[in-house]
Amino acid sequence: MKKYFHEKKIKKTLENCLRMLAYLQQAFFVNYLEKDYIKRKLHYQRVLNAKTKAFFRAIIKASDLINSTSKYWDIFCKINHLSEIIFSLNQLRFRVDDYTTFKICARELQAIEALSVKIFLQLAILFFKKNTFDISTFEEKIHDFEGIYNRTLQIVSVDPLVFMFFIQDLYALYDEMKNLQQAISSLNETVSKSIYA
Amino acid sequence: MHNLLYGTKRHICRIIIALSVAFIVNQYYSFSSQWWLPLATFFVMLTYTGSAIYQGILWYVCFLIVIWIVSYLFGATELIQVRSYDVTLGALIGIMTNVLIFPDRVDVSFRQSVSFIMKYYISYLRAIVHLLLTQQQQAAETEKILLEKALQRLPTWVYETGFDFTLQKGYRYFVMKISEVSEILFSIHHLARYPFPNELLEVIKIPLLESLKKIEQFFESLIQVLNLKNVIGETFDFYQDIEMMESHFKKKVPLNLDIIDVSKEYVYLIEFIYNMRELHAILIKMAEALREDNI
Repeated sequence: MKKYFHEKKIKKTLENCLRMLAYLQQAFFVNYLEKDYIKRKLHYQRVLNAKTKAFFRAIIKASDLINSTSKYWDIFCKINHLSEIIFSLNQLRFRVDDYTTFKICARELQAIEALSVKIFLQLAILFFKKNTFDISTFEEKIHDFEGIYNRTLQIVSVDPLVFMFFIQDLYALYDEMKNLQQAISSLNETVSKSIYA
Repeated sequence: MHNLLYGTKRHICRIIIALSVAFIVNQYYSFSSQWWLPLATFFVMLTYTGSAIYQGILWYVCFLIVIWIVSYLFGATELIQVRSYDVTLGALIGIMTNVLIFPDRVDVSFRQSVSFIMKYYISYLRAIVHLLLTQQQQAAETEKILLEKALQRLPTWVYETGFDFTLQKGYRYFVMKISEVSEILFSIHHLARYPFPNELLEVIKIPLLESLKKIEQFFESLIQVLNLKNVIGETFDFYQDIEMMESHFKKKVPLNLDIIDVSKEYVYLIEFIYNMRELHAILIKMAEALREDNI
């Protein structure tokens, strides 16, 4: 019984990490999508700091419950890696001086943001509910962004290499989300098999 | 609220003293003979570091409005005046205590928090470079958790409305730069996980280790300055190592977008070098901010 509640607590904590990650992603993409970002930079930075701290609190709580021998360790490491990819993705806002560049790809960025947040929230639900959802639509959104990069951004931006970094990090995000989905699904299968056994 | 949640001894002492005074004053000078006075004292003391007066007044006004609404709703309009008097007196006690007794030492809190975080930056960066060169993850994972715990102490109270007007600009700028450093380090960690082939790493290894050494020295100098032990006199030439990394890399890999497009490892390594360059640029800006005596 004690083990059951302990496992439930760990799952709840990991679910919370993914939720905080979704909100962090939202806070980052505000930099590219909000028209008043430059005017209200301080306000958005403050919100970003708050979301970052909230995510760190969640991950610290998870690290206190999960050690390297735990069956949740792999999932915990993947969530950690996802957070690093998100920070890497959002270095773009420091590398682009002319913010009007983001207007060119605003639709694609919006689609990426909406879908990535949705996927994180779906992955969070996956800990407790069997939830089949297709992550491959995210790859399509990355291809859309790549398309606009090849057609326009490569020509208009001062340093097109920074957008290439962004695309590469998006692919890394997609791969890690897929891995995480597989890891959570196989863990749930293992748990349900052990119950039936 | 930040002060209360993290339970700094100074703030707790202030609250205890203020509440003691409030209870005594409530006994002899309260008009309503209810507990509005000490309650008001407590609420106006729930302020962030450096914003005692502004936020105290804000809490007072909010509390007053709540009193009026509650009194109207419960048909006790005749008590509004006496309750308002008690709340005003309580707020005055709270705000004066916050400002005069063990007042917030904004500069000390700020410098302690920032220098605490910077120590973890040094060890984390060292672990990341170790990960890049040896693919051993454990040290980087451990240091990351320690840094995330340290970053809970990031002094985000400088963003609060009402923070000391004379210090706002410099402190906020510095906190933004500290946050940017952490983001760059997390980004570098992600890139360092990639299993680069050894011949590619050999290209940048020597300038990278030189750069790491200089960054560590620079952070140590910043910490010394923040602890008021030293001034930044010497100049650090970071760009030499970055340029060396880039030139070695260019000799090995021609920077042609078509070639880079197909090779993940080249993109990751260039991004790594970009991140190192950006890290150096931020450190120089932080040093300039300290030289201008904004902090």
